[in-house]
Amino acid sequence: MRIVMRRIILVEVFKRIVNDLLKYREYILYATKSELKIQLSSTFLGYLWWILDPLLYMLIYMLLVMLIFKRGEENFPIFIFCALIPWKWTVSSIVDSTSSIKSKVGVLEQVYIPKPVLPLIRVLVNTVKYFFGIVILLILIAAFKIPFSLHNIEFIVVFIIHFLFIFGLSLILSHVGIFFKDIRNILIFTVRLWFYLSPGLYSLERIPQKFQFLWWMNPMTTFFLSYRNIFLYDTFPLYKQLLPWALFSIILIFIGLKYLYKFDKQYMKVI
Amino acid sequence: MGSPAIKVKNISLKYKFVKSMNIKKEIIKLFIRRKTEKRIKEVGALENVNFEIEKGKTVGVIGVNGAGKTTLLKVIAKIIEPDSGEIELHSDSVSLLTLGAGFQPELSGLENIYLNGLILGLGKDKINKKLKEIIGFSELEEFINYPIKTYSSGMRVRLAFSIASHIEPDILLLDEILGVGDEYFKEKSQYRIKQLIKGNRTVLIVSHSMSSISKLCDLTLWINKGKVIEYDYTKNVVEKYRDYLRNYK
Repeated sequence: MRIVMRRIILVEVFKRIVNDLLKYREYILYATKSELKIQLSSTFLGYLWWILDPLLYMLIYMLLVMLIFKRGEENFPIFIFCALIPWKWTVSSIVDSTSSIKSKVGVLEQVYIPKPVLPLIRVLVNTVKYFFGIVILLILIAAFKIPFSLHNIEFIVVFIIHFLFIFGLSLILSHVGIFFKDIRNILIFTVRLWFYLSPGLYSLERIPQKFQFLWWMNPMTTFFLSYRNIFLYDTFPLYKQLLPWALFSIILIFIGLKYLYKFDKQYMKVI
Repeated sequence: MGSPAIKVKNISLKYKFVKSMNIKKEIIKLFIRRKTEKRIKEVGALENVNFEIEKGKTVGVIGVNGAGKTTLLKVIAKIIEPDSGEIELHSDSVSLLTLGAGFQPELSGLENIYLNGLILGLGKDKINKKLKEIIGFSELEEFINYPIKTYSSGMRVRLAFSIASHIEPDILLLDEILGVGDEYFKEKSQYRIKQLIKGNRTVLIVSHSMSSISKLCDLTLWINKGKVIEYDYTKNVVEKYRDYLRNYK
């Protein structure tokens, strides 16, 4: 009985989000475009920053690992770039999403917008920037004379699953962000820790075998290694590990949507 | 008797002020069990509100500040859900017109027309069709291509009113948007509102201006502290309200 009830809720929630996305698709696209434009107009170099930002980070880590620690894997710049760009995408999306509903109070007081739309716009904005990063990555790959392969196409699969994961997390955080003011500070710290616990600057082989299972509990491990397989090592992404994370992401999305819809018309009484 | 366009049944609503969680306090609470003040404070905004509006009628909503007028409109526009009670609307096309629903100061007036229109439920091609009218009405001319942050407050108001008044929903909720801008634009906007009212729309107007309420509305709803005091022909209600205000002072 309970399982049946759950299934009904599941279907309803997903039906509602599909409806909302269809109804608000023009707004979502336009808002994404204009938010990007606002960000561009607020800096002098404009979208050069989307390119410079990951490049500068890469230089910092190269300096740190190659010059100071005298370590580093083969093709180290590409090696970290494959992790840095997806990482930047993940972090900016979830940090931006925490304030996505709260910062739109002015609008929400006057018009109804389905709440999941707001974190989605923030995620989409960051996704556009992410694509810029991927283009840079491809240019770097060419510059380092790493041969392109058909595996590059499988990027789409990894991208979609990673996107679902980010979206799920963003939905939940946009809800939490309304009630929990300190979330931003906590996030900034947690995110830093999370990065060092992900095989971004080092390869997984450097972790002792018996601890590696801990690293596999971090979705970033699967994502980073998959990106590297595609772009650097000319093999398949880790499909076997990607599948459970895809399911996990869908569950996250469901939980997020359930909360956002439950409180859909309550937020404005609270904020 | 026409069929009812808006039926409001027994609506009650309380605002909750939730104090944001504070890590320090939460941690202390883990160790020391003591009575802490409740995080949620409640303030009643509407209490058992009941009324019906016939299709095509224009109804004014009056009351002193904080009486719950805006909340009532928000509930009808389905921006917030009442704690109890029901609302029936004969049409889905309902919109609450307040000024400048989310202007983005960095973007141009033109882009803001699109953004605003899309939020308010107009499709892109519909906006394209009305674009000329909206820009024409706002009289911003070439300024429409400049960012909103360069506008004077009067220009902003004019643009906001032009967008809002060109949405043309079946049920129109107006929150204090009578009498914006300079004398000239005020007249123009009053005229525009009259046009909107004529088109067999159901209109609810919140305003403090008794003269415009008397001019525009068939019926008037007077609320105080979230309760309906009087719901009758405008003339009767406005008279009683004026008496009340005189004694209030």
